[in-house]
Amino acid sequence: MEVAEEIFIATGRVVLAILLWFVFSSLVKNMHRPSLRLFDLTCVSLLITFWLGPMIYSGFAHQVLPELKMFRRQIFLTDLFSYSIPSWAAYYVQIRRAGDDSWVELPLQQYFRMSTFGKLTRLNLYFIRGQISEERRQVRQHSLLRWLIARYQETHVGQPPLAQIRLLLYDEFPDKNSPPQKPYRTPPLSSLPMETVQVLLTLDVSK
Amino acid sequence: MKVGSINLTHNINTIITKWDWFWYAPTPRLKLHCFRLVMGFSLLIYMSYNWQTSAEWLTTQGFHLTPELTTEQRITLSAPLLPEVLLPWFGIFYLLSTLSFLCGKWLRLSCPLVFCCTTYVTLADILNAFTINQLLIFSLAIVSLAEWRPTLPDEQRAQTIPSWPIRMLQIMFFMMYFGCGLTKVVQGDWLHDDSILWHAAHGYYRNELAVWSLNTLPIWCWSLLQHFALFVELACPWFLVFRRTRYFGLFCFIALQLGIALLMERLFFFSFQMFSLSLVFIDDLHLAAIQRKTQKLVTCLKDKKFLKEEP
Repeated sequence: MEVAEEIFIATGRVVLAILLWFVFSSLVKNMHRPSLRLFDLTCVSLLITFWLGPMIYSGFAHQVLPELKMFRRQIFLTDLFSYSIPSWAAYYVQIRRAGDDSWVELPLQQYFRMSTFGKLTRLNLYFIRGQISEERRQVRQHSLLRWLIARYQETHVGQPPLAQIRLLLYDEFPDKNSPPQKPYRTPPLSSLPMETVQVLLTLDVSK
Repeated sequence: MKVGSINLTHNINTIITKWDWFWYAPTPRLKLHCFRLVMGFSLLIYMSYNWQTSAEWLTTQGFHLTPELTTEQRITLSAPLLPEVLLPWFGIFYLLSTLSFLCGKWLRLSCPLVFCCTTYVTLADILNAFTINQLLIFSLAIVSLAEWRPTLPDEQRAQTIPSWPIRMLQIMFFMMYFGCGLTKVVQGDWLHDDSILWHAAHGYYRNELAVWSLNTLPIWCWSLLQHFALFVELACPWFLVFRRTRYFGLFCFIALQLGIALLMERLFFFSFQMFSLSLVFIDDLHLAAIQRKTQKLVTCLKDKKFLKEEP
């Protein structure tokens, strides 16, 4: 219903734009003008109403017109590197199997193989996207770990069941005195002192 | 009608006439053709590259936002994922449509198909839908509408189209740079922090050249590059609106994109996309001259090949 309402209001704007043009156009006399066709007029009105106008509005006001929220992602301008990024997050997942007290790292590369740009995976994007409260962040972390448990159990049939799973975060801060020597890659968890790694969430699989 | 010393009717007449010329003036089809060619090629390599991991982002094999999280992000438009059996078929269909689009065959069919496929993958994989997808979707919508437009006989003869498709692409290019620059200044930290670019160079996109640059260039050089990038983005209206500064502006934009492509791993796809958009600012006469020279070169190469084969 919400989508239908949005389309209805936006279509109304297109019709209004065409009507307005006809009203103004009838005022023009004795001027040399290009030949016009209804198809072109509709296309221009459509594109201005649905995309160009809202995009310019969102660019200046930094919010989307309430009637066009459906197209939120299409009309919001990019804000690539607009903000200072003091550190680069690396995520890890560790599991503990039933009857074993040690934590073992789950290779996330198996589950998140895609890196469209650089080494930015969909996992990184999952946590970057959207400015959310701490409470909602926990819901996200929970959702990710639940999915990983399900995938792990699907692919490791016949192995000891999972007892616990936890999500870890390491923030890498650039250091002016020691520039990097290699292209970016997620630092291996084994090379990191555990006190620098933050445990974000631990789940008991049985619960 | 006169209000004080202003002739209102004349002014309205002038504004409407200029508006009409801006959007509907006949313009050579060549510009849109060149844009379609380069944009189609950039789409082809972008999608072919990412297709290796398609199972992750198009099927339930990969991690996706749950309906609850989709609502949380206020996303009202999303598409269902593909069943794994259909994945190769969808890939073949997408590839063939893109090839047909690129080669200029059955454009009335291939343009909307490529548009639908690109929109579908963007809506299916919301986690990964990037700026590049937004650019592609809009560009494809424009090209599709332009192709579906019924052509008049005199337009067919003169090989012209109304200028609105080109104008829309020009405005998109303009908004991409100027809007970005404005966001950096108004919302972002670019005026308060000189080391944003230096910090960015350390992150997920760091490649060999970035490592070398971080080890060689002092921090003030990175600040200088950062301010150059901001200047280029904010000077976009000055560069593009005036004919005299347009080519210098395009040179600056291409230099900026080249810097991004060289210093940031795989952001080459984005730079390529922006490069294809910059073509719509090249003068029609210059574009025609480039086309003539390219054709001449191709003919020349063909002749040489023919001569070699003859004995």
